[in-house]
Amino acid sequence: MIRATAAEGQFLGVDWGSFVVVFVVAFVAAVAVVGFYSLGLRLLSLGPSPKQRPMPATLGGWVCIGIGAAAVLYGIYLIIPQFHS
Amino acid sequence: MEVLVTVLLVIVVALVFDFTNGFHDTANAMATSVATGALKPRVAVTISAVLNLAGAFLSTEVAKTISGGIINEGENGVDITPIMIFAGLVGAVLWNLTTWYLGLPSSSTHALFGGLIGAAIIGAGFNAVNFGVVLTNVLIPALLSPLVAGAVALVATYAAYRLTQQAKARGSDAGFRHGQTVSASLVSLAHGTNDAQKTMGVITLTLISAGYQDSGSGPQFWVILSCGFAIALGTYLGGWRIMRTVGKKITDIHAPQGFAAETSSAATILISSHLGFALSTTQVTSGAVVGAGLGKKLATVHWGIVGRIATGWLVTLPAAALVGGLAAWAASSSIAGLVIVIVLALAAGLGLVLLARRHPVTHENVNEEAEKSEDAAGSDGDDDHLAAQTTAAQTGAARTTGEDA
Repeated sequence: MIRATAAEGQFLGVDWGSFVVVFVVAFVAAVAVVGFYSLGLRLLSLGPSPKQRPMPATLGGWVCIGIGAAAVLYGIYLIIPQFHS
Repeated sequence: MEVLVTVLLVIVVALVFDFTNGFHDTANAMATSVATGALKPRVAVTISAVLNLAGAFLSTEVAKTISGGIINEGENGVDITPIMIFAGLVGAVLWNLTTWYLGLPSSSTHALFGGLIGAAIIGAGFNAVNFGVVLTNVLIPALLSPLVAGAVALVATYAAYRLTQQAKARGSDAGFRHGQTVSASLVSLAHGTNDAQKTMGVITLTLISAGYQDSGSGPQFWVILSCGFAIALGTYLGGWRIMRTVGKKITDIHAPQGFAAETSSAATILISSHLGFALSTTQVTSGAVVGAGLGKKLATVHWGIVGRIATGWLVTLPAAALVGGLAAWAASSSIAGLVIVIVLALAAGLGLVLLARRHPVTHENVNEEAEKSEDAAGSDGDDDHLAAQTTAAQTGAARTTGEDA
């Protein structure tokens, strides 16, 4: 969103296109991760007790949590420059 | 000889700045986890310290300019002298200590920029500062990034509560607390790769400009090591005062909100860094906490404290600039002036620390919200008031606190 020289789509010197990109991507990423994790927790909560949880719920629940974990790993990948410089 | 002394002063103050940066920003990643009990306070700051230290070593990008374009450096512009850097850092450190004392989260980066701006204006006039860049790199992101993070956190929190039946599904609260640990660690790691670099950049560029290092070379190992340790130490000692504000005073944070807030912060910070724009971790996480507060039904956000935080952000640049400018004016006038600046800065810093001990916030009481502490009653955020406070702190002036219980 910030560029040193003016470019297309600038107003007040701010690159609004990039701002929108950050907003949209952060929105999708965060809501998706939180959503999948929450869904996973919900699935894992089904059944009268953890030991009596239906198999599909257990499977689905851990898959959803796994998606959240994958997102975290991707985040680590983004953070550590050695991985993608 | 004089150059060596000034360079040494810069290194010392830069490391102190890094230290204050550490205890300021430990709250960003860990406040919500400490508030919900996902992590015990000392465990939280230990994790954060280790990750910040690791982050300092992981990222090796060297800053090309000390001020990121805010000050017209180089050939056609201003020569940033070590004295100016010293004065700018003094301004930044005192602002960090003041906001710590008041328990207000504030951007250390902006404090650094403010100090440098003040020092540059005194040293080289108003033309030294590129106010356009200040607008686009500092002011507008300060406005937008908390809004973005807040909006994202709001929706994420709403989703978290909806999907788990208002967090009443069995095991969901514990599950969210585990999630918080992970997302908070991610924010700490991201912070570590970003913030230690600033101080390394300042020290390295000072060494280069004073001729102790070749132009274009990277930070030396001892610089990386000392900056990493300074920020890790500050992180570990913990900005409990700020942590209490972010974790408790803005809104009463629960595990699903904490998880949503930290995940939103992590996403916003990572994506913008990846695209090449640095955002203030403090502003993003504070915005996310407000958003998470709004996303939960029947949660209250204490807008009074949000207003004080926002005021603090607005005042950061001018206040740090004021102190930085004063320090630059005095320090560059004569050796005596330099000594006076050092003494006054030490006194002000010590004064703030001593004042803080009157109502200490520690890992033991960080989760207590109700306390007649000065940060609820005190400063109105006026920068003259705060500047006076920093220089008069040792006389214990300017306190309007209520009766001690």
